[in-house]
Amino acid sequence: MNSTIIAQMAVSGAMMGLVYALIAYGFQLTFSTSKSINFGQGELVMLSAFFSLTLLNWGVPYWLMVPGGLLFGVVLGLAVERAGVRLALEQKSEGWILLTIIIGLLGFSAAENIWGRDDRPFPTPISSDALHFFGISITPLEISVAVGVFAVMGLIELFKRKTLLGKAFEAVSADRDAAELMGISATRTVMLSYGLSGMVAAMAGILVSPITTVGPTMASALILKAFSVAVVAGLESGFGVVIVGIFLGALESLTSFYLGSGWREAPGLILLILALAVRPNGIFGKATIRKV
Amino acid sequence: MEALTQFFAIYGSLVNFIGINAILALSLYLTLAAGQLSLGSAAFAGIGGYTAGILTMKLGVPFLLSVVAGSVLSGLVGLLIGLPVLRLHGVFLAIATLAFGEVVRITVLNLDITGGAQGLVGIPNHTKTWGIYLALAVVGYAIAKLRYSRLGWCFESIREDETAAGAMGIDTTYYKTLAFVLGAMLAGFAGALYAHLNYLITPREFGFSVAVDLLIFNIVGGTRAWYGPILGAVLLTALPEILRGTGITAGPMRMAVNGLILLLVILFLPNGLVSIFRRSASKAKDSTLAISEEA
Repeated sequence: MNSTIIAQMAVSGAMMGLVYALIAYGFQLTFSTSKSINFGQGELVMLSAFFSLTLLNWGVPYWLMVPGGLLFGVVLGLAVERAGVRLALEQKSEGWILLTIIIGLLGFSAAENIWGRDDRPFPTPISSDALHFFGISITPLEISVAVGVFAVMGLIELFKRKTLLGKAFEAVSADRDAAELMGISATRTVMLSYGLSGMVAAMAGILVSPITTVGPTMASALILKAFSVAVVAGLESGFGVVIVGIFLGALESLTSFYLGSGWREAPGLILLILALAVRPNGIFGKATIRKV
Repeated sequence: MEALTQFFAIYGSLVNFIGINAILALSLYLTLAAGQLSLGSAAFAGIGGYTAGILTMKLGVPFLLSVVAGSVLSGLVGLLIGLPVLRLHGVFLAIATLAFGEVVRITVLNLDITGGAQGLVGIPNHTKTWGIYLALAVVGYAIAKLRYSRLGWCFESIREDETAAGAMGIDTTYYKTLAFVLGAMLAGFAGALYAHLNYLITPREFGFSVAVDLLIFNIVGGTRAWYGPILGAVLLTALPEILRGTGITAGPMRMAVNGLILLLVILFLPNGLVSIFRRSASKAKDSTLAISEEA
């Protein structure tokens, strides 16, 4: 009996962990090309979710809403790159950290003014009636999260390996200067990575909101865990985020089961701090030497 | 004289708040002076505030002693956090300090002695306006003096180029940690003053958005002179009140206004408002945005 409960908590937590993994994957996309990430990524998740909800309220069918929401995410990602990152990167400064935070906070107050502060339910055609496997219940909704996460990550990886644009992306990630000498525009590739990262964030928003409801603060807890997953797995390590994400999600739900929900945030932060203190390049990352 | 009394009756709390914010902005300035970006600076104010508040309220410790205790404890935590964290650079340093701020917030929310989400209620009002501004004057003078001292030059050299500073024989780890700890102590001090200004403090008042505000004060004011952060703090703290005077309710728009000002300053005054007063600052090639250059 007890082991069933533990397995149940672990599985439900792991599903949530996949969402952290997806957002963390968005961090990896931009970090690999530009060594920068969007600190306002959580607000991007939240804004895309709100936009998708608005589309649904306008009567747009669910399966048409998904591409609409993703497109909105791409636009937001590109906007962040243009307004917050490009100038700072050209100056080789770290101003993008502050600028992306500010853009995120602007997005937050925009959402509060447009959609209000209340959490709203997010309708979905996918059933949340539990299915039972070996005594563990999983809802189709949770399965849809897993399917969505793997679909988006798989498609982007396929894009990076099979298309010319994707190979340019890989080239800039590997060596920005060499790629530029080969005639690849690094600026455009960074734009591409921010667009993709915005899309990934929108997907995370659409997948998670039927479970968590939509509200201005919906992503503030998500984003910190996505940071931990990204840092623990390494900001350059591809699919490592999936493993760490599942692990963190399961660990978290077990923690809140045994210690109380107030400590839910603790494992993510402890992992993050341990990882930064011991292996800043991540478990799956390669150690790099800082050059003069 | 009567006009002055009336002014204080209406704007007294704003005047106090400006002074506290200016000291807090200076605490972050100390850390930035050595080129270390921190997104957790508000948490140190929280540590100082809660420590001092609990000491005076529950143990009856005299006001001044509890303020000192608050800032010392904040400094100790700064030392503990600073040693592992300051080895990091750029995005990792930012994430680490952000996570630290979150750890402090969650701890305060979950402990009983801090009053959880309701906050610490019933702290006696001991902080006076003259006390805040006396402290600000002393701190401002010390930081202005520091800039051209041996210590100040060490900070400056690390901020400009950490590798080169290390090659010149400067113990970069020591000075980076020192800057961080001094900043933490000053933030704890300001937090302790703040706790005894209001009847209550809550975890939200030391959250992430406050840490970002402190950064904005520094960037808008300029980090090339000691009075930059004070300028930024005064302007941006008073701005919502000024806007209210002109009929705009800035409540929900406050962040938007701050963001807009930040953007304008970055575009037209890359070294902050300080560059209006200091021509040498405006001539400097690198901008305030370049908090610490990537090696």
